[in-house]
Amino acid sequence: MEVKSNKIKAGKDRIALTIISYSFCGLVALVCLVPFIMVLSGSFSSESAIANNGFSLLPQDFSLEAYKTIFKEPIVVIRAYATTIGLTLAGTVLGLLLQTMTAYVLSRKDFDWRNKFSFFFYFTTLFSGGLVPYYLLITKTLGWKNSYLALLFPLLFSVYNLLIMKSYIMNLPDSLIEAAKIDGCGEVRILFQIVMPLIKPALATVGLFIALAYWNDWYNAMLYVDKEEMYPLQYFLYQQVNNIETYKKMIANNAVSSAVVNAMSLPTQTLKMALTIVVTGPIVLAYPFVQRYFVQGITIGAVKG
Amino acid sequence: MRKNLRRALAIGLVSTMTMGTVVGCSSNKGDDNGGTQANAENVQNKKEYNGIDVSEHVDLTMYLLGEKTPDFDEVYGEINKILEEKLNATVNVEFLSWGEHDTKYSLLFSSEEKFDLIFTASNWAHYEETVSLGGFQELTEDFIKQYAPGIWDAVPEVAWSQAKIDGKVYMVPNYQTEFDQDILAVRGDLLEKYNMDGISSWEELKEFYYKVAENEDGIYASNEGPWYRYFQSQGYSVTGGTPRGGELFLYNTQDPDDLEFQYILDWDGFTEYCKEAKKMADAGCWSPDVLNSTDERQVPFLNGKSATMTWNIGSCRTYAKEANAANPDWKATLVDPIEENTKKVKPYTGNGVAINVNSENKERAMMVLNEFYSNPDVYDLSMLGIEGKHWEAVGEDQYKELDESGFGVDQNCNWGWKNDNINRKEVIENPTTVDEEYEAMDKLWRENIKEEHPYDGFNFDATKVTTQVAAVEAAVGTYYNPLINGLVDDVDSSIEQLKKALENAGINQILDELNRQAEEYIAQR
Amino acid sequence: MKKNKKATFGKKLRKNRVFLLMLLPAVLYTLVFSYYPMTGIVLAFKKYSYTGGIWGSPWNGFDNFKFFFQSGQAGLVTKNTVLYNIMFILVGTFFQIAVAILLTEIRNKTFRKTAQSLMFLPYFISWVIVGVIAFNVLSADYGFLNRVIEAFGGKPISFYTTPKVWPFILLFFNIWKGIGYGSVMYLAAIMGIDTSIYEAAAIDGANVFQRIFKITVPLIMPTTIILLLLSVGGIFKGNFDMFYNLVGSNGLLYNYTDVIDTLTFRALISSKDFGMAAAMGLYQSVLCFITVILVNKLVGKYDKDYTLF
Repeated sequence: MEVKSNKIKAGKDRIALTIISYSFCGLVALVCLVPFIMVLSGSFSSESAIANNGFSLLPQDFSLEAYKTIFKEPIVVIRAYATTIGLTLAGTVLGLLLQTMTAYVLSRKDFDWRNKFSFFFYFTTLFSGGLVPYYLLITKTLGWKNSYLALLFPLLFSVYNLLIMKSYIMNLPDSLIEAAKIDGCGEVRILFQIVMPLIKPALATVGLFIALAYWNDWYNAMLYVDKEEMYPLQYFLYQQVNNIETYKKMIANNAVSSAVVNAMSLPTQTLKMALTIVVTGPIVLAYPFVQRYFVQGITIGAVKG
Repeated sequence: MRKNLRRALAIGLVSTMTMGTVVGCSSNKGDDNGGTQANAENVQNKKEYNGIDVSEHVDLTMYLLGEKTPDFDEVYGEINKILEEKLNATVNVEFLSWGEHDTKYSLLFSSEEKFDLIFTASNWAHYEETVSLGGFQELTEDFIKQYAPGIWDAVPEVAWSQAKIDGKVYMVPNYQTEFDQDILAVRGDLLEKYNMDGISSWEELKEFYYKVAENEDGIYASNEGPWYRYFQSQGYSVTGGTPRGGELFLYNTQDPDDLEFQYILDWDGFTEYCKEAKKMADAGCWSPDVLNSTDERQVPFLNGKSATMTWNIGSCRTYAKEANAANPDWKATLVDPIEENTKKVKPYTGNGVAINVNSENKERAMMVLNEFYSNPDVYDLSMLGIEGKHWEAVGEDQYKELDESGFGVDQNCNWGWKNDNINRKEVIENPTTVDEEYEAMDKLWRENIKEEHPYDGFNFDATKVTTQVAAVEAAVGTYYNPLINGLVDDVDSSIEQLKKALENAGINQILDELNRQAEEYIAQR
Repeated sequence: MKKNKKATFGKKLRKNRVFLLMLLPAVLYTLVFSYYPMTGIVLAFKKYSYTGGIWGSPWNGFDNFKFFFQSGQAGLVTKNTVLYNIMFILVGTFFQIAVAILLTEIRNKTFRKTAQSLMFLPYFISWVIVGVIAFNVLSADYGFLNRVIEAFGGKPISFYTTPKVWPFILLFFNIWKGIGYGSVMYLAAIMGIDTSIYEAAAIDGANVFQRIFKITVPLIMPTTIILLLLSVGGIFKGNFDMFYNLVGSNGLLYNYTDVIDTLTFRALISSKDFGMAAAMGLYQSVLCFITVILVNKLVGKYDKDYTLF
């Protein structure tokens, strides 16, 4: 797919743009990388070194203590990985299907109520009833306490993704669908055989967003799951990190008895960092596989012909 | 109806039966392994606890705050054997971990879960808010006396008074004497360097702070502005239940006849303190980043970045020891910066247990709590774990730690039923100087408990002024934290601005309501 | 007339029945998971109690809103919220588009892929950890930034007592955290552009900058506008995690950093008043709603296809 670049001669403008793009992107990437390196080396440092000198680019007083703590019971971590990966896969496939199908209908100009339905969906992003009724819905009405469904459903459909998908599909030329209809294709077939192959970058993008939402979710697990064997990965990180919040409140509060404060196990700085690495590592590594959809363009002309 | 009749009949028997059951239980426990199994007991048709019929078996659920320890289930298995045998009930414990209780506590009530007992605490663990939303069962005097005579005997009058909201009690407060005042763990080597033999007053505290700030490079004197040290040294205490952890309305706890609340912004002492704090901050007594530091309290002290650590006496002992173990030349020592004052006991409502209003077994729940609170066998199990595995007894009222890895002392959210009457003290072998200082100070303080002030048992009920309280909480942060840490540019104008902001937020209505409630409270006493 | 309308409705129904069928799952989902719990909004006008629940609790009119206006901070935090969001949206969008366009111009595949992956990293660092990192970078004592300033002979800045620099700090972290995630959307839009258009332009002799501004930018406009509109829908909602973890309880900075969500959090920290929390949510939602309706109308005047609904 290097067609376009081959045809463009390397003039002055081209050279200028090359310099700008390499330096700009390089700089941004660097600024994004440095804090992550700090987290990474923090996770391999000893706690006292961090307390004394703060974070640095290289591990100080190299230590695996934090990782030893996390992998004290490897089975727990492995199970959590499995839960998260399973949920992410199921959620991404189902969510992508649901959102693409809906977005396709809303993008069709010959659908009479498309604006009304768009509004119907969009409205829900503005108003929400808060946690209590939602919690009651999941636990009482649907009875999903300690069920994987409570982890799967809340993230399945996002209006945000829906509208992004809709905007991508709308970029396709109308003539394409017209032609297909004249050929006698049904809507479902148009969607799956003509539209979908043409919006691969969009599918990759929205799929990535859905996957990330599942991967990063801990809130639903906190609310609806009590069983340790059902915890997804992020939950472990957040349980630790949220402790800090409580701890800060407690030591600021004169009413708390010393026994209580002593009982709180606060994660060490290094443990927080190591958890971050354990939790994000796999998805960071998986990212390049999604990436290939962003590095190649699409030639609609070819399909149209 | 029939139940009530039986209860009424039972009351007469309570006192005699209590003794009988406690003794009976202890002897049973001895031959537990022998075979007095819970199942065997079930066969019996009629079962009584303190004269109350408990023939019907119930499974209770109790929510605690914190994290589960590895041996928790094993220990509670033992506890359940006793409960099963004595009152035909078992208790299943669920945990709300530290990170999630803020969210989940209220959801338990919103979704009308049918659990029975739950940990609570005034000020920091949802007591006031849950009461005002109607989540807890009211505990009347008769109810407590009937189902939990052991608790009634142990908990002092003032503790019940502290637990009262609008005249009603909704929790069983714990009974342990903890002191309201923090002390300092100090670097002894620095004290020596500046020819000070201790820090026993506000003046000496200032002197030491300034000396450290002036002469020591890379060491701060403190973690924060010593606001509590200041107003406590003036004899003041915070008023329970009022906004901002009670810090805005102080009362003179050292003088029982002084019934006036001191609104801090009308108090010259506050202005004086803020000016001093600014001087200290400018001199470099603490870091300009204090408001954003995420360090645990002990971290700067242990790492040699702070010359003092201010905390409760127990924590100061722990970390002073730790500091000395790592750096013997520091000679960390414990000092009481308000030595001349008599000591105020912390409100007992700092830990407690409440009964869920939706519980289907409120009476049995109270009986179970009674066991936790007053049956030494259950108490020891819940506090220390299994005898012989986690701890061993030393005499009647002491213990030695054997293995704390599975069930650490004070680690199991058992603070709600702490009872000084039967609480075993730890025997420490090879005490260090810090341990000796601790013991001496603790002893001195216990002999030196202050006379009770009427307001020590008073707790403000904010339900009538919720709007004002929320507005005040929202408005106060802008100036208050910077002021007490001496970080504002101009103390007078900041105080003026804070005063105005709070006035607009409705602080005066809160004060009026506070005075009204206090008058009522005094009249009832 | 009436009959006529019915007939057209029936006809329309028949004509759109496949579409409607395809929408059905999403509509059901939205009804159950969004509209049904939305009834909780009534809490904004109620004195909530556990015993009464959502429906049984007594009404109390607009009492739940009072604290906000009585705090004396309502105007300030509303203004802060909106200004921060406008700044985040504009600057953020600019950077995300710039990154997306420039990335596609990089020919070295490895460099492009690596740079893009690295930009995604901040997205994975939770705000709590970002707060810790920020403190390490900004603290007066051992902050990385101050060490750099000192190395260049400058005077260290006490960031945590200097409110004026905070809009920039917050802007930086906001852009930094969202740049990888945000640019992916534009990247996908650019990839969706028919390459034959570029070829035609090249043959016409357009230089690369012309190509970017005349072809790429206009063609990703629909995506840009949708994303802008979506952001506008949250313009009165502050990113609590970010503000809270970076600023914390540092009152010195509040005049520059306090937003509606952090103020509400502080106000309700001791009372946990559900009614007041719901009231604040409703306040934000209504303001967002009005803004979106207006902006959407404006966009519609420009081009109907770009509107949200």
